[in-house]
Amino acid sequence: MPFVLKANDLRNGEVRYWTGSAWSPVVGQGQQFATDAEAIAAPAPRAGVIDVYAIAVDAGQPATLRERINAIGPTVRPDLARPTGA
Amino acid sequence: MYQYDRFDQAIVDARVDEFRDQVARRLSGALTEEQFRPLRLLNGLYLQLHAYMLRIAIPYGTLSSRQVRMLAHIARRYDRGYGHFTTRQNIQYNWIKLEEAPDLLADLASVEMHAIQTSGNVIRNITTDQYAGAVAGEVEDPRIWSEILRQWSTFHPEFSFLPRKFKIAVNASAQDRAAIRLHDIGVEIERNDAGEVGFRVYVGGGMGRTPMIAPLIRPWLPKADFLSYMEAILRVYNRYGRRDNMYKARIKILVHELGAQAFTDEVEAEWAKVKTRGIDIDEAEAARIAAYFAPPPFDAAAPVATPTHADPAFGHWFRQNVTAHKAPGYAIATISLKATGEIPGDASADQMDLIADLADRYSFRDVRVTHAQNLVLPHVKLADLPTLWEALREAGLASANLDLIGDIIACPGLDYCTLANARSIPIAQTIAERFADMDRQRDLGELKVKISGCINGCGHHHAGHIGILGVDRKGVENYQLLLGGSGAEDTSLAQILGPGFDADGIVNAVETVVETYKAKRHDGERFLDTYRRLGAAPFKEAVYGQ
Repeated sequence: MPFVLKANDLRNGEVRYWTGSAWSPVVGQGQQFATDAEAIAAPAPRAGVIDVYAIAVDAGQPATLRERINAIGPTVRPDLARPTGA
Repeated sequence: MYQYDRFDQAIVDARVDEFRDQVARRLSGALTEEQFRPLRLLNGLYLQLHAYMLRIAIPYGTLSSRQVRMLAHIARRYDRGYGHFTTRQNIQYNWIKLEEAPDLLADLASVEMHAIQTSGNVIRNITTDQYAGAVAGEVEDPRIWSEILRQWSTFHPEFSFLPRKFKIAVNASAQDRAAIRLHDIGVEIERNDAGEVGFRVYVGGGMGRTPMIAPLIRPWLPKADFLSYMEAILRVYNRYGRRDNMYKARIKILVHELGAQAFTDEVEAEWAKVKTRGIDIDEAEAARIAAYFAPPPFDAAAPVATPTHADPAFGHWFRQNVTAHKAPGYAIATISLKATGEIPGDASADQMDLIADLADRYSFRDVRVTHAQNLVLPHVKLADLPTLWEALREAGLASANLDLIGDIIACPGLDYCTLANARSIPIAQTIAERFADMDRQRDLGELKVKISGCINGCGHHHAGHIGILGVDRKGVENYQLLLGGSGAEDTSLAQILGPGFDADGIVNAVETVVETYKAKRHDGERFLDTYRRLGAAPFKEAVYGQ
C-alpha cells in the first residue's frame, strides 16, 4: 500500500498532505510513495507544519478509519466535511 | 459567585500576555514544537484530529450569564459556532487556531475566565454538585470549598509538575452528583454528631485504564485543617507517585500498591509536619469567600403552587427535569443537551445566548454545567417554569430525559480526539434514536448510559449503569458492553458482560439488556437495582445466548 506524507498546519492545526510541491488540505492530492520511509524523506518543508508522519492510502484515500476521519472531518458533522479529492 | 479581586485579574492577564509572547515565538520559529508543547498544554490547548482544541475552565461548573455570552462569542468568533460541555464541567472548542488563541484568552480574561490548568500534570478543575447552593438538604454550599481548593491549587509552585494529572471533586448532599469516589481526591462535606461541619476524605479513585473506587482515608477532618491535609496528600503523591510509567502514575495506583492504611499513615506523618506552616485558611478568610456564594435575594412571596400548562409535555418535563429547591416557590431546572439525534453535550452559540438570556430573566444570572454534559438554571421560580419551558422547547433544549436512557454521556471519541480508538457519538445518537419514544424512556426509568471511545474513559463508561467502551479490533471499531456501574453515592464499577460488538450489534445488545431488565424487574426497581439483585447471568444469557 502506498503512503502519503501528512502534517498539521502550525497556525491553525488543520491537516495537510504533501503534494510534491505544496502542503494541501486535500488528501487526494497527496504525492504517493512506495514506503513510509520514502514519504518521510520527501523534501517537504517542515517550517509551518508540525506532527509530520506518513499515512497509508488506498486509491489515494486514507486506509484507516482514523485517517479518513482526519481527512474529512467529524462523521457526526457532515456540514463541516472537507473535500478529499476522491 | 466568586468575583475576581485585582490579584486574580492580574494573574489571568499576565498569563494571557505570557502566552501571547510564547505563541509569537513559536510562530516565528524561536521556540520549537518540543519546547512549546508543554507551554501550550498548560494553557489547555491540545492538537486534536482536526485543529487545536481549547479546554476552558469552568470552576466547579458555575457560570454567570455574562460568561455564557462570552462562550457564545468564542464559538462564533474563533470556532465553528458551537462548543462541547465536558464530563469535568468544562467546555471545549474543537476548531481553534493557534494564532488566534491569545486573543481568545484575552476575551476570556475580560469575563474572569481562563484555560489555566485544564491540561498537564497539575491539579485540574475542581468539580462539584451542579445543584450546589440550591438543593434542599445540602449540608453547606460545596462551591465555597471548591473555590478555596481552586485558589490553593492554581499555580501551586510545588504541584506544577506532578507525576500525572490530578482531579478533585466535592459533594455536600446525601445524593452524590459529583462522583467523588471516582476521583483522585473525593471530599464529602458533612455534619458530625456535635453539629459541626467538616469533611470525609477519599483518596485514590478513578476510571480509565485501571478503574478504582477511592477508599476512605480520613473519616473526619475539621475545616481548620482542610488545606494542610490536602497539601499533605499531594506531597505524599508528589514524592512517591511513579514517574517512570505514565500508565501507573495516578495516585490511585500509589494508594492501591501501598494499601489504604499505609498510604493514610504516610499522609498523617506528612501532615504532622505541614499543619503548622500556616497553610490553612482561617475562619475570617473562609467566611469572606463563603460570602461570594450567599443565596440570591429570593422572593419570599413566590407562589408555591405546582405550575401547570395546557401542553402535557410540560408536565413530563416538570416531573423529569425539575428538582426541588431549598427556597419555597423555587425550583432547579435542568436543560438537556441530549435532544434525540443531537451530539451529547454540544450547544450552539445561539443556544448559549438564549440560555444566558433565560438565566438573566429567570435564574439570577446563574448557570451550571453538569458532569453529565447538561446545563442547569439553579434558581427558577415555580411560576416561571412554564414560560421557561416554552423558550427551551423552541430552541430544542426541552428534552424531558434527565437521567433516562436518552440522557447519554459520550466523550468526543474518534470523531474529534487523537487518543480515541472508536467513535462514541454515533453510538449515543443511535441508542437515543432507538429509544426515542418518551413513554418507553419513562417506563424504563433511571438508566444511565455512558460511552467512551477509548480506555481513558472520559465518557465515564465504568460508572455507567450501562457502559460502552469503544476499542480498535484489527482496524475495525468494536464496542464492549459493561453493566452495573454507578458514580453516585452507591458507587460501583461496571463489569464487562462478554465479547464486543460492531456498531449495530452494540445498540441491539443494549436493547436486549433493557428488555431483559423490563421482563425481570420488581416494582419500583431501577435497572441498576435489578442488575444488582440478579447479577450478570440473565443479561449475559439474553445477549449471548449462553
